[in-house]
Amino acid sequence: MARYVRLIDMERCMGCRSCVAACQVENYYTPGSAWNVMVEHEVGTYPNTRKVFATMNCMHCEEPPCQKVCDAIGVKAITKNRYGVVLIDYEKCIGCQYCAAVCPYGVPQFNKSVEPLYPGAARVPYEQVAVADRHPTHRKKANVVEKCTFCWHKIEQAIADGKEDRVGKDHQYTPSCDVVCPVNARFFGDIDDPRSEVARRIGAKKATQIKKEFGTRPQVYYVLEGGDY
Amino acid sequence: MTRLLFAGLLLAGLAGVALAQQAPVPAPARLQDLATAIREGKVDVGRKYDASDTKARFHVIHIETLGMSECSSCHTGRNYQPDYLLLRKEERLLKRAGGEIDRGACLSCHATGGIGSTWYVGRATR
Repeated sequence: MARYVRLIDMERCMGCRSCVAACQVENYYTPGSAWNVMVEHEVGTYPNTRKVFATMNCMHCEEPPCQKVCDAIGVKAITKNRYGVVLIDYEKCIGCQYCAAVCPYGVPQFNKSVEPLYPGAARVPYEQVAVADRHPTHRKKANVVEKCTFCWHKIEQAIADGKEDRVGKDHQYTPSCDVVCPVNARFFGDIDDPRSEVARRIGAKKATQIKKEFGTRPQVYYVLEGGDY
Repeated sequence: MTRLLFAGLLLAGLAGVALAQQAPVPAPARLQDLATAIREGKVDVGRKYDASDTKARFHVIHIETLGMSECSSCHTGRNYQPDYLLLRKEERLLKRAGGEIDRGACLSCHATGGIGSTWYVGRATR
């Protein structure tokens, strides 16, 4: 069984936000609830300063506190499937935002209302797709929480096509943010396959998870400048 | 003079014994009991689950019942901390929150072995 992980190489990321844009188009972005954001941080002392960039999306933790709290209050809208992907069922979500409160990474986004991308203007192409025709993870609703799904609709397609081994290699089976990176700062694939590029790079570049003190065991790894901490 | 000193020492000793007898139960033990009572439903904290509503369970538990009455107990009062791996720059956790929340504060009670429900395993990666 594949266990999918992502690697983000912050030594290579230049902050172009291609991944952010790709995520928005792929996942029917609605203003106020981004699934993938770029975070900037200035380092150094004037005049020798520069910026470090990190994209933040769902970590799909192996010990997801969002799921624990959702289960504890009996809502059970959050699940972690056997491929390691943490998903929210919008039909079950009650919008309590407990998941947002416990996530150490600030991932779950509460969608107070589903607003058009350009109010008063024509809908962009992806907004014109009828809600019923979309994948369940894209059927946006008001007053529920949503987040990155590792582009589960693509992985699901790979499984249906019997192409699990192509996840992370073929664009139609790989999360869009990882496909579009122009500087090869993002990789996606099966960490349990030692031949996969993502597994090799995590080992070779000593990639690490962030905020390990929470014990959530994220499935997104970062190459941090200066190595692990 | 010696009598006076002896009497003083005696009084101080008696006062110490009296204080020790009246000493309150250590706060952590009381918190533990309170946390258990909340989980067992013995303390009424409401039935509404909404982290953004200050009158709902989430805030009632933390502010009124557990006594974390200072907003700064959880909210940092800042929109963004310079630690880019800690918080998102663009968004607040909750729309009406009085500043971001440093989730490190949650660890003291909600990690393994804490008095709160265990949301965080509190150990490094395997």
